[in-house]
Amino acid sequence: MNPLLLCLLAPAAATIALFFIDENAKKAIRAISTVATGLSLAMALLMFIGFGDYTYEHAATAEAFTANAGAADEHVYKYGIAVDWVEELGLSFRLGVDGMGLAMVLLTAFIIFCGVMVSYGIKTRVKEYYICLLALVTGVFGVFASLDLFFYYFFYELAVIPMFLLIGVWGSTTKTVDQNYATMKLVLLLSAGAVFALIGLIAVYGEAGTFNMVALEEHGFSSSFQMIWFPVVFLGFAALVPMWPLHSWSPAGHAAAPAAVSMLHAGVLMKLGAFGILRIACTYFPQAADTYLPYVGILCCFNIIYGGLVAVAQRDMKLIIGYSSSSHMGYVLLGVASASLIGINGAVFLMFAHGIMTALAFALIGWFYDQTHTRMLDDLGGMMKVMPFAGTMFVIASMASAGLPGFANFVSELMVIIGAWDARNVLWFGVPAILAVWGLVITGVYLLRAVKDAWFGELPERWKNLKDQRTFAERTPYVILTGVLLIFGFWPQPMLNVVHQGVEPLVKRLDAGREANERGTRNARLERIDEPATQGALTDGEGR
Amino acid sequence: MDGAFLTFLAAKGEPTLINTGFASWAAWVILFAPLLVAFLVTAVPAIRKANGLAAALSISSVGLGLVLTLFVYFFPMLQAGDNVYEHIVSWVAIGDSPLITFGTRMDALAVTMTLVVTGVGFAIFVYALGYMKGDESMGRFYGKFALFVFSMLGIVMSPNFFQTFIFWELVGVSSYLLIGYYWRKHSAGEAAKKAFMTNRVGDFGFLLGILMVWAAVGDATGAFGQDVYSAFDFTVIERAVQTLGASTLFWDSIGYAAIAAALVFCGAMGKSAQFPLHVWLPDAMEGPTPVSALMHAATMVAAGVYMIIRCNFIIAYAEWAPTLICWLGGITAFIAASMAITQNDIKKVLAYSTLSQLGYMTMALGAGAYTAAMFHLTTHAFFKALLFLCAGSVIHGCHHEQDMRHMGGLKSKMPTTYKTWFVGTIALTALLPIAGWWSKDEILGATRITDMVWGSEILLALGVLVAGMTAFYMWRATYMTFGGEYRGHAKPHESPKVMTMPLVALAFFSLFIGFIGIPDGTFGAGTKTNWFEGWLHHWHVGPYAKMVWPLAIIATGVALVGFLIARKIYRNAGGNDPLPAKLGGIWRLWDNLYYVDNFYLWLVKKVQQGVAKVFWFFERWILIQAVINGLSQTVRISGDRVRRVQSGRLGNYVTSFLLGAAVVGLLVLLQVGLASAGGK
Repeated sequence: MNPLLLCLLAPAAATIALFFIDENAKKAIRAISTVATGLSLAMALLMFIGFGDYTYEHAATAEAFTANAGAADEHVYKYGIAVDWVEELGLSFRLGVDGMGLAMVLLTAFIIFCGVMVSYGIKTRVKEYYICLLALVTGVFGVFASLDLFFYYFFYELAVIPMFLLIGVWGSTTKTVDQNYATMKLVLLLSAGAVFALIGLIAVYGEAGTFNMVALEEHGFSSSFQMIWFPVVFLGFAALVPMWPLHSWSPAGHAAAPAAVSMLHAGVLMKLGAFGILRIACTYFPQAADTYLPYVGILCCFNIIYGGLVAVAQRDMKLIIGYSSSSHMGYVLLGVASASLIGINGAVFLMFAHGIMTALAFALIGWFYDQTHTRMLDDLGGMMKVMPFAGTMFVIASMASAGLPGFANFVSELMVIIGAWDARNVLWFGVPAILAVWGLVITGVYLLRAVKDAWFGELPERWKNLKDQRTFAERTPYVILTGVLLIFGFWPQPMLNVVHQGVEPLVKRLDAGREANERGTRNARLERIDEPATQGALTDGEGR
Repeated sequence: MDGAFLTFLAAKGEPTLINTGFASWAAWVILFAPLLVAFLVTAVPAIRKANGLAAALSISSVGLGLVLTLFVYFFPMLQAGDNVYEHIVSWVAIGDSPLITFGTRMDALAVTMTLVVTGVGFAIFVYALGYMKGDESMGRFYGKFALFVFSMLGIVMSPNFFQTFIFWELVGVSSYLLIGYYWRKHSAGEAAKKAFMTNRVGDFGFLLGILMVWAAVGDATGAFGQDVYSAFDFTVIERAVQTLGASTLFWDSIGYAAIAAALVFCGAMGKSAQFPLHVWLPDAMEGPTPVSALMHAATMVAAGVYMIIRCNFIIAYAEWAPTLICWLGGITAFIAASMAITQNDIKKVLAYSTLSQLGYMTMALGAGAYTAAMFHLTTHAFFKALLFLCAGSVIHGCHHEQDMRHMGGLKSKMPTTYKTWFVGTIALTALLPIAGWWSKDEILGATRITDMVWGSEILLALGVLVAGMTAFYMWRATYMTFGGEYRGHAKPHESPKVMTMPLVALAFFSLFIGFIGIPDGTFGAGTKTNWFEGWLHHWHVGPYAKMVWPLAIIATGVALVGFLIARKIYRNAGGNDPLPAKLGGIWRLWDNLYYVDNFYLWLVKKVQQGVAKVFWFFERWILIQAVINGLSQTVRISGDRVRRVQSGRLGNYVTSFLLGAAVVGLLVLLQVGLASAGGK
């Protein structure tokens, strides 16, 4: 069976199966969820390992997933499967992943597997909780694997609705954030972004007449169409990333959500936005991307610096990590804005690394919040004494987040910065790159403060009885996440090989878009100049 | 590294890159043995909890490094020529082109530094056995200490800028972990944070400097048909600078080379604690004393100096950068020496002394005397580690008393410690021609000779003055600690053998290490200026370091004056320090550390926190409250209005339809308009 399909079907099937299980059989519910997500993880790993060598068995199938027309041996999308659905509308169920998609599928698989294990502590409405969680993750897998715009959107909506329930029912209200408010805001902004993107996607369908994403890549939209619809599609996805100033839903949502949902939210949902920008906005509209991306390069600096400084002002641990996520997604956007091979490779790798790191941090905050019922730094302190394991893990997560070597975040963030510096001719003379380096300093400020205030120093009397992760099952998710960060931090090449496979065609498109724009400008200039001067203008243009 | 590039290098003549042989694989073992131990100790609870086992593993990993490095040093092919043993693998590649490589490089410079790190490190690792005895988490301590040795060796053996940056950060992490070792103490946590953040600020400049050099060299080596991505490599940068000349290479605009060099120096400014980023080092004394000795005196703080020597070809050609570096070094040397005079904590005296000596080294870097800087680094590593360990022994013997006012009379109570401290003090204050005498006077000589630095005469005078101040504060500390009567409460005792043996070993080296730099002409004819210079001369550009004899005699005289003043004031002072009354305002300025720390505290507490608060205010009230919530209010109210639109009146529907059509039409027109303007 196709491993990609299996990866998607496992949580879907488990969702359905859970409906028929007695809600008091908590052990069975947990077991089914763990096995299903474990199967997804196994399949994702299988695909990751076999990715370089994968070939289609049937030439006909292969052709359907070859984006580069004419190069039948270059299969950009692997593990493809296509089933026609409504032929009149050109709707078909098509799955397939390139390197970018696979990296995201793997990220999702890691996080949901650990998320399910972290959620063993959930006591109320266990059955409904896992149903929502698995439905959510089915949607996320679907988005990353879909090659049909219709299903892309369908899966996207499938992910958002359980999110609403998960935060609304199992979330918490604290001093800093009201649960209902946060839930409503999150869902409304996610939906608003989605609607924006939907308008764009409908326009794309109207223009090209197909939902087939492989065909759409080759469609070649006119430059005027691109110029109008790129911003629409881009903004729709950017709200998800979340790009400044559309970000305020995200930290509040984190603060109200239960641990596993925060993990998925920061780890995966944010990446849906960045993935959409790369997979749809930049791929379909490369010419417009060339025009607009430098402005993204300005906005992402707000993400990095503003997000970081707002995190400095926070005392609620979840808000700190929440704003830090928005700050780090600024690096992803910077990598995208650089439109260079190094930068986008770094951006996708950072999406993976940041997802794992932030999931680890949120899981740990959830662990002690369940016991302390406060996340305020002023109430905490000295917890290293009673929770050495959790404390060590939190220090590791902070070090990873602060971009220290040995962790995947370091490699990817540095690649983004190098890419942005490399693209300094188009990206504001390297100023965003300089600000991004300064962002690393700011990251250090709020993370070290969080580490020191919560974990070091004297332990208040009332926290004497906090309990550490002791059993194997309790420790496993943390060890997995840390291990992933360390393995890809020491040995990033396997991940980069996979990512590069997906990024390379995209960068080629972007380069072609830039060339087309330059040609356009040159032609326009030629038209404005009288005949005799044409020769000079041409050499002038080429001399640049 | 690809074959074409090796050919390119070979065509340029020396040096020869050899990537096989004993030295290149030994380097990997030397580098990774401590990491393996650090990992085992941290990850395997059984080893961590067995303190003795963890210590034994750590000590043997450093010992193995020392033995192997000695073998490499005596390795005939390295001795014979100016060979480089380099072994490089691709670490991060984009598609087929390597972006970041990882490797080990063994050349004369790296071997010298590795010997210092493993040699001094071995002595201190053994010493820590005694010092940390009774600490229940000694395993944890040794794990982190081994991690530090790994990180430090990574910088030493790094063949490219990026790898240097990786280990640069790792050294910062291990420093953070070890300063905060006593994490229950509030001050230790704060000091660790301060050290980390100050270094981060330095690294901000460092990374930008690396990127600037990378971009310039990458563009230039592209002309050779080389892969631009290898432009992090020191060898590539050196060749590019030497072949093309800095002015061609750093094409962009005037000052590019100088800015790049100054930014690279920012990294050294953080790690080697140069003014204005010197504030973290004295606070770093919160860590255990062995940590202070190895990291915050002998090796880690010297990493900045080492790194600049490693890429001296960037600095030497960089317009005003040498002047900047030399001046910052001179200023650091002076202010640190003056602050050392006011300290009463024995470790703080040594910490400021370290700052001051690092200032000397930085002066030498600015003056282009790279060998002199390396020479002083080497001798300083031995005698300053010795002094710190002596201080540790005193603290241990006095039951964790660090205030010199509560010491005194330890000369007879701790004879071995006193004798070795005496050797260290002589070596540091350069009263007799051992260790520091040779190396410091070489630096002063270089400041005299150089033509790269504006205002070098002033710096020379400052340097001589600092020699006197050094003698003053060191003998002040000596008299307060060892002279007179014992003023403390607990009964002092001499430290155990495991602690005094390393002291004796380091004292031995402090006595004799200086002789590697005796000018050849001193005892007969010679071709090179001295042996150490001859060993390293291939690895730097610019003039050879020379000893300027008259200057050396003047400096010694000034040091003697400093010693005599200290003797007069403190010999019979007991616990009272008469100096504050005599110096008045100047003392207060020094005692308050020139108010630099206060200024930074203000910057962090008021400015940074203020900006953060302003942004948070904007986020909370303008963005969320006004825009987002305002929008939702608008939607709610307009929802009420829209309800009335469903009025059933045809006219309203027609109006709405027309409005909608107009919007769609507008979009279509916009597209058509763009199409005609855009050319497609």
